[in-house]
Amino acid sequence: MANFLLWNVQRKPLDHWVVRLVEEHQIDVVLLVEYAGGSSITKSLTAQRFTPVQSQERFGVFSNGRVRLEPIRATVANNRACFWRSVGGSGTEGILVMVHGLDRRNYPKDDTRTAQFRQITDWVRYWEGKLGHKRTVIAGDFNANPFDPAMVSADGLHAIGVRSLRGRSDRMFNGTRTDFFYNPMWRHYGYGTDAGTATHYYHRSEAQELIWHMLDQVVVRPEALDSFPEDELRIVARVGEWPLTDPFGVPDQRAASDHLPIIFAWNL
Amino acid sequence: MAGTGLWPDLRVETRQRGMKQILEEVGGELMEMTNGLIQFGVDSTGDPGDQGLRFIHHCSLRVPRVGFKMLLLNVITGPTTFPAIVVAASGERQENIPDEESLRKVLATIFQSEATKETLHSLIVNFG
Repeated sequence: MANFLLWNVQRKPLDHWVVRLVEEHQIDVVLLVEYAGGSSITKSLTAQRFTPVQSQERFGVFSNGRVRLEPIRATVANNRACFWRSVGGSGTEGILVMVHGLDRRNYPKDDTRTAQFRQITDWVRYWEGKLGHKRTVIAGDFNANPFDPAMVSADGLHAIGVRSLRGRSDRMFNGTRTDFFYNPMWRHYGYGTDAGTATHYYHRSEAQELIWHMLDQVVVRPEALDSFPEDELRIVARVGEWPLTDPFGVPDQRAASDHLPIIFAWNL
Repeated sequence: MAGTGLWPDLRVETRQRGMKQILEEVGGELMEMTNGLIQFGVDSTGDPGDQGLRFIHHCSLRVPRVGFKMLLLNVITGPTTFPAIVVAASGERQENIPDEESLRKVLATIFQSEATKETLHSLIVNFG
């Protein structure tokens, strides 16, 4: 079983936090979004026997060797996604994709992310066909909530909150059968009493406010669920005795990041 | 002009080009330019949403030889061909496009963008 850490580090050198998370949760693969190139994180993780994995600049990806990540080519607009063949100790192969969704301030309309995610799933389908399996996991900061149309729509990522539909992992749309992803984040959203109830806190002064947003997510093909223990997927709000939130329970971006990290396991 | 039945004369009502035809014409030369390697294809879906009927024309780059298809942009319309909304996978978005001439200008910007150039180059290098 390999353990993964996913965290939007807000372009900060949060190496002390990352290293503590790696130690505490016995992490094998580190997936950082909004990673600052040349950050001290690289040096700190190298000291922990991690090596950097080839990725787009906005991502920082490191493995301790228990999972081998081989880049596979996928040209996604603005370099906002990265694809790897992942091979673990059991020899089982998967496809790992990292995503950074178009941000909500500059791209407030959901249909931009819908188109972006559709482009990513087009590449996923191509590689699944080429590699002959559908053991695919997509992780990242999607800049979308699990219920946003960009996440749910068959025109977008097509990640829904059920594992199968009458035993099938696809559904009819527009006259054709379309594969979907299972999104386990549905079960986590709002589960905690406050801090850690999602991964990002954003409070404006609109009449309708969600306050907590589940922007950081991991979605899985139903075909990969046997190797994806759902109870190992967690939002992390503290590292040891140190909270990643301020006294009000909000992600402490002065001390760490405005996003909370996620850990998950994948039995490869 | 109405026919003898209750339905309108659809030969008259549908004589104008629809968005799908416009898009196929605008993007069609890509196949010639790449010696048949890359096609610009359009799949159209209808969505009877809360705000009324709308059509989404999914415009993809396709490499038929290897069964590859990748969304480039969506064009969204109501029941009429215009006004239209163009949404590119790279994030560009243009609303209230009033006519075909304006649509062509918006599409030219996306076709000639660095993101599209990089994608086309990648497809040619990898699948050519």
